[in-house]
Amino acid sequence: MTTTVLDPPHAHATATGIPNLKLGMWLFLASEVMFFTGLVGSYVVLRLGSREWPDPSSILGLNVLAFNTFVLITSSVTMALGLQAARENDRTRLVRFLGATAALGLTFLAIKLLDYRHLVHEGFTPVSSLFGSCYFMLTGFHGLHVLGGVTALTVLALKNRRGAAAIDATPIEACGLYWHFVDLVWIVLFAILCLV
Amino acid sequence: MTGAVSTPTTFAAWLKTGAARKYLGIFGWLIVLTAAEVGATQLGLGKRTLAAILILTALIKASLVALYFMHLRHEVRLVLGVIVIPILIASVFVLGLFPDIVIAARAALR
Repeated sequence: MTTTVLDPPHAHATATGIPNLKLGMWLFLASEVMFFTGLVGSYVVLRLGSREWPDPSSILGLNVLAFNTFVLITSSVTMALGLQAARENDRTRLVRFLGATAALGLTFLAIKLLDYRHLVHEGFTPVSSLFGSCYFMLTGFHGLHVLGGVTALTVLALKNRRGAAAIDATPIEACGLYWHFVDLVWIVLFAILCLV
Repeated sequence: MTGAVSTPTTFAAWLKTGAARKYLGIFGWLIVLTAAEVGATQLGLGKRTLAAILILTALIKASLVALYFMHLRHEVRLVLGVIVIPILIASVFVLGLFPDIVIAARAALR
């Protein structure tokens, strides 16, 4: 099958050679880098400056968190495949991959909430210890970012459900950059917060 | 620009095309590295050795996501600057806290 790919309706040249939406997303991610480095840096400083620190594996469910990592990594692949489908103007595959990515994001959040419930039941809360404060603060902010990503993915999937015109891949790419960044942050959090 | 893109009809065939195949390859590496991280925690290694291994593995995984999924490998210098400069600035700020909080606190605890 051969598909004709046309220029998207809003495509135009920019002074930087990068679509404005994409450059805007990179600038937003730059601010996000500062935000998460500040949070992770605070955790590292607090941990290294403390006399005692609990072994994370004795408190956290390592298998559950590893499975959640698998879920988020899988969602990054479906997102990348969705962008590929958008570039090939394949609307059906694009919507399916965006839907799968959003569903995996929701699965991650559901598992996280069950994890929180279990931890609180066991007495590990944001006020129980310094580690508790750091864990809930870092994973909580990350979870809010996942929720934002799921919302954006759902909106994009609904917007691209129908239409005869060529798919504008720039919003998909911008959303993908955000989603991969959220995955990247979790990869770092999983290692330093849950394993080390 | 108007062009023609040949799209394989079956999903399995599509997954074997260049870009999709590359993404699945990176996915495989990310899963293997995650399994290695979890496995390393079960080996009974020293704290410092384990921390070094886990941080190195996390950095490799994060780099794979940034280079291949976020396509940083093919981005222009402007984008690289936009993302690398904040990482450097924020890291310097965090390291700036070390002499006061980490080193001084450790010395006081001895």
